[in-house]
Amino acid sequence: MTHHARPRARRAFAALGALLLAACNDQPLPAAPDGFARPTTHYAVAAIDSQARTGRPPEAPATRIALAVPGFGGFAYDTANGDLVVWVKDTTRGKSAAVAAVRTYLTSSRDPGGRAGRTPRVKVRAADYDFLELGSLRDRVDAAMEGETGVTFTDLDEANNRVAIGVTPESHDRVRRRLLAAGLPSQALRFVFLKPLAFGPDNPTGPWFPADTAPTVQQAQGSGAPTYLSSRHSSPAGGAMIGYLVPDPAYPLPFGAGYKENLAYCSVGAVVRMTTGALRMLTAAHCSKTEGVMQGDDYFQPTISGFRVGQPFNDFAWAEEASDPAWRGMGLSCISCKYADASLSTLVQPPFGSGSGQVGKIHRPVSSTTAWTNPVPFPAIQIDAAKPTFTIVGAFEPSTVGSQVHKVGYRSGWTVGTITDVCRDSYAGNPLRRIKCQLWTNLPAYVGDSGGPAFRLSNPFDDSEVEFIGVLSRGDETGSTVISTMVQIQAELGPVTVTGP
Amino acid sequence: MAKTSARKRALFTAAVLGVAVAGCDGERNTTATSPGAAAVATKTLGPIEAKISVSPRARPGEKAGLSVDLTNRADSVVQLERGIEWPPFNVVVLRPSGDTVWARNPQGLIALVAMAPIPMEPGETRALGVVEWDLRDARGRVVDPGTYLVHAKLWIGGPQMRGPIGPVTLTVTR
Repeated sequence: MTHHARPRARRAFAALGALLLAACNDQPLPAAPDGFARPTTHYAVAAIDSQARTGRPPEAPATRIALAVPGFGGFAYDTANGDLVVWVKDTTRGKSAAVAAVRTYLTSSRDPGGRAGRTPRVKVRAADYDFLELGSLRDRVDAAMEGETGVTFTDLDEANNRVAIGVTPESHDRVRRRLLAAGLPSQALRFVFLKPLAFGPDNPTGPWFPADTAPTVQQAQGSGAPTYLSSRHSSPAGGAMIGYLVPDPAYPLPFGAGYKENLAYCSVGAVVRMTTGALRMLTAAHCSKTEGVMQGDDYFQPTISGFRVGQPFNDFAWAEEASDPAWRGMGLSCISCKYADASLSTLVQPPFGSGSGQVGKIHRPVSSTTAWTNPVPFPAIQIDAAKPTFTIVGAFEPSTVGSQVHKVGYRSGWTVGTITDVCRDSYAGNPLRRIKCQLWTNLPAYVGDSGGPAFRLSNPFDDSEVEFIGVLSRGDETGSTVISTMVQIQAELGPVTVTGP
Repeated sequence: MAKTSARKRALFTAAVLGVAVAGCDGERNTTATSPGAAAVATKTLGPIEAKISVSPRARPGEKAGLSVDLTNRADSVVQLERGIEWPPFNVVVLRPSGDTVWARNPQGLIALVAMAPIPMEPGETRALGVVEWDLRDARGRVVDPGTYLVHAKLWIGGPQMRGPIGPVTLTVTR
């Protein structure tokens, strides 16, 4: 009995939370289930706070549909064929309403579908759990598994209408026993078997360290030479290369006097506008001397065109770190956490800096690639002379596994992948630090791409119009690339505008 | 006797795992432990020989430090590609059963920040640093006495230097 009563109570709380969230979004139900997914340049502070408190903003659209359509169990694109899968508990009654609500959401968010260029087929499947139940079950799994070393991830698995739990083969039995002892229904759990990290799958075609494919000085500075993401830009935009000085532990100074300073390299996420109208450079927070500590780091542009890693930046700074929020406690389950891996920097004004950056723009290479390639093909890092920039027309918060996503980073250029998880807590370099609810993708990315913009193409008739999703954070050796999305970035940094004037 | 048997089993498991790993990626991976000395494992990764070492015994309240050294065995300079993570390796501690006890970086995620490669002259050996394990699991609980297998996985050097190094055996005593 107890086991039945507690989920009901949690479900009621979940529903209440979602209703509050809906109220904050100021959207009537169920007419606008898209919530904050509508392309927008600015989120109301109250809405951001509310979404941040839930900790799972990407789940808000499905939550809102579940509140309006009883029995709705979530939706996702089938990564194998691009079909749209909609889960409904009672396929004889809730089917039409659920499909209509999902279609409304996808239409309002102008989702291009799992396969660009064709309308996805809709498949309705019988769900065992509605979305609110799945969210509640996932939260219970999280609580029961906090600190469990045999669990690599937990996930509200929209593609399978289950709660997915990443386990090693050795930990499976123990984890399963603990979850069943905690009252979780066996049927709701989907175990994903992983090797221990030491034996984890390398991505054979996706090394972190590609050969340095930057153009040579001759290639970049010859007559009529093209511009590259790693070139010096008179007015930088998203995707441009930046460098900053860090104490380099690889080069300790004598007598324990610290470390020699060397340059580290990242990418610009975007030049954004604050509510005051001031311009800021947005990039990843770990692109600084110390993530989570405001130290006023200077960010440099390449001194020359044809810049290669290791060449000096003998120049004045282009930007200076202005906001890098600290790690902090978020309840008992998260003692050193953040919502996003993001920081803001002021643009250094004349006479020392140019004060110049392109708001609402991302440098646009000649063509994209979906593959991990080493060396990186030049068209992916060479800026298109005919269409030199993408224009950011809004922001977009992805909620659909299987959707396409793009990114530009100075090292691997313009690449395309798909979303593999819309909301997974991610460790930031050690077991104690976590970044909440990050977007996981299979975007090809290399070192140097951190901070670069992730986005989606928003106009089927103009492939230079995009909606900003967030900035690149981290990657793993299996080929996953993690992104901090705009809602989380704004929960961390406050409201910013990513579109141009 | 029971302790000796358990230790033999652990060392045998370690050796089997080491051979299995070496067999998987075609690289040499050897383990050696002598009484009182650090437990050491080496692995040849392209032109580089990687060595990991850890003190073979530790007691609760102590910390076990795992260090990694690289030696360039080639006749020419090798450029070690790298990111910002330092020391540039993950450490994973397993029970002999294969169950993960602790990992320095639980999801294996690294910051996608580029740094200039480190050149290594022929014959040069470079210490990559030490990662300390406080003999606690990820929930902060002191681990039980017994044998643990410690692996390192490099975040440096490019695709020819991938895959785990080790294991080395660490015995936690009372």
